[in-house]
Amino acid sequence: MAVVPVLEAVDLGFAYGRRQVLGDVTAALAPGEVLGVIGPNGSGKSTLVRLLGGLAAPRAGEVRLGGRPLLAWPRRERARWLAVVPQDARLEFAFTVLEVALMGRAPHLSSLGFAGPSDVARVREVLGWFEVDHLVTRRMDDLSGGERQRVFLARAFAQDPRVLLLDEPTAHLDLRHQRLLSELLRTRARVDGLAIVMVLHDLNLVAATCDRVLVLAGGRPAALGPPAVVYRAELLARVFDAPLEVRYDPATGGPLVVPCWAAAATEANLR
Amino acid sequence: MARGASEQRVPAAYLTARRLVGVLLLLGGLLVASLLAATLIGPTPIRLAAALGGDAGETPDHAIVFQARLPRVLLGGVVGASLAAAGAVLQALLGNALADPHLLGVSAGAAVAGVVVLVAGADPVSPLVPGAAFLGALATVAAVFLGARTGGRTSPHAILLVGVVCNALAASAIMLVNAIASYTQAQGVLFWIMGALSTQSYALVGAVAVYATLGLGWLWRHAHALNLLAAGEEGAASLGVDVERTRRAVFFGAALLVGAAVSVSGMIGFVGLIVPHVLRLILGPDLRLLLPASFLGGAIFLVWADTLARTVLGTSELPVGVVTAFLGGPFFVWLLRRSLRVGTEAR
Repeated sequence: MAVVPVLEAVDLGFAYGRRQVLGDVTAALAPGEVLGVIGPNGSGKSTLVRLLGGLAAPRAGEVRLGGRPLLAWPRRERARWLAVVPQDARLEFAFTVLEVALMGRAPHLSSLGFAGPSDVARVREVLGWFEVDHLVTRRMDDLSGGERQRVFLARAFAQDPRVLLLDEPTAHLDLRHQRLLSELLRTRARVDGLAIVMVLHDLNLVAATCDRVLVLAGGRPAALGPPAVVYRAELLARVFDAPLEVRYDPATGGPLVVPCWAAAATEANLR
Repeated sequence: MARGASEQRVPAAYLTARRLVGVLLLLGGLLVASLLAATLIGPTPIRLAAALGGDAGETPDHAIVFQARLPRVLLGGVVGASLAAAGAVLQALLGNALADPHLLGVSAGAAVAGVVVLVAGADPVSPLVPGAAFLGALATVAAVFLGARTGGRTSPHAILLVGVVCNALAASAIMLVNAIASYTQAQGVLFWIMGALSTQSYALVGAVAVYATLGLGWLWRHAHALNLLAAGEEGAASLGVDVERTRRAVFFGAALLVGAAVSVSGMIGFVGLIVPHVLRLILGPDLRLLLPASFLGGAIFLVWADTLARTVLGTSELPVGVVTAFLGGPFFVWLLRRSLRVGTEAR
């Protein structure tokens, strides 16, 4: 069965000045698919998200959204298809939670962005998914880091995109909300056909959430495939330069990565 | 209980057309009342009946009200509106609540250009002067922005430093022009530096009002794009904003407002800082409301500041820039302290 990819990266490369930070990334994302991106610090994960989101132009290769070159899309139309939650999203001025979430409706509204009752209803529903709907009248600067992050996630969902790019979305989230986010991403992918690219350091959350995983090392793909295939102790230990074991969750059969802190400590002592 | 107090400060959760119209009608009413009241206040008491009475165009009361005071009060309104609206959009564009056309040196850039064409021989009431002031403001706002920008962001404190430099350069440039100018021209140059309102013809007040209204309308079309810029340049871009186009449009609109204001009143400071900031605390940061509200609020503020300037010393007058600086200087320091404190807490 040939599925038309909604987002494609073809031989993607990027460099800051002469310093190459990403190269040879080729991947295609089908509707309803969740792709995890993992790799050590500085392996090009965030750069990949910026390229896929059209926030930077690639040095080499091309990104295609819905079969069209990403950079050829009119911006507002693109924002109806593609939403991005950047690492450390920020916001100047004390907007209320509802105002921030309504900003996600902007690409669907006139350029003056006056929201109608249906927009407010949609936004409240999405805020409910993230358990922040009781905060609608609160100002963003009154919230905790985790609450703020959930509002930014809700803003991206309020765009009703077909593709969602998430860069470290769980950084400020507690365990409960990490699990909620993971379940929500699976549900939206299955129900709405939302395609998701998620950069994450938590390898187990990636394994639990993603259909496929792209492993980046030094700006180049080291592996691409389902977690059960990609999560080999030898590969991950080499890429992350850390001793670890891969076990299997007795309940789901999925891989579980266990870092070997003790082994690392012993090794350091022996040196 | 403390919770309750802070809940009350929370602005309404989002902007509806009803709220927009309601707030603007209220401010509009306050502005009309202020214009009327300020016209009746002055060193000479006015007998309302004599000023408005019948067909008499000749009573001294009538002359004072319609030939001296009203045009000046109206001019104050237009200038205050322009400066406050420019402050509101610059603060949003730069993500910096300390931005103000005067502090950033934009007013000074307008003044230099205006002074140069004046000394070069342009008629003070010709459209050449506001035109030059507009270009001066446009060049300065772009220079300040580019000067304080690294890696796709403008540093909030660097931008104020660049503004300080622009102000110092402009002051020297005006002194230079002043030294070259003839004695009579030099008298005119002083007024640009002081920042003062005076009685002008209705035609000139009307012309400035047209520039100001055009600038407001132009900027209001970009108000929501400016709201989205609060998410940063990349955040706004991913919400569908053409950041570069918005920025250019705002530079243009703000320069139009500042150029118009400076060409008739010189450099009046702090209006663009105080008015949008206070209104943001009351109304919230949504520029679709905050921008027109600042326009009306700036008019109210400067009308009363000038009333104070006209009356506080009895028969002699202060330049209104003195009043706004005495109010705005301490306000700026308070704001700066607050922004530094917030910065430390975040760390």
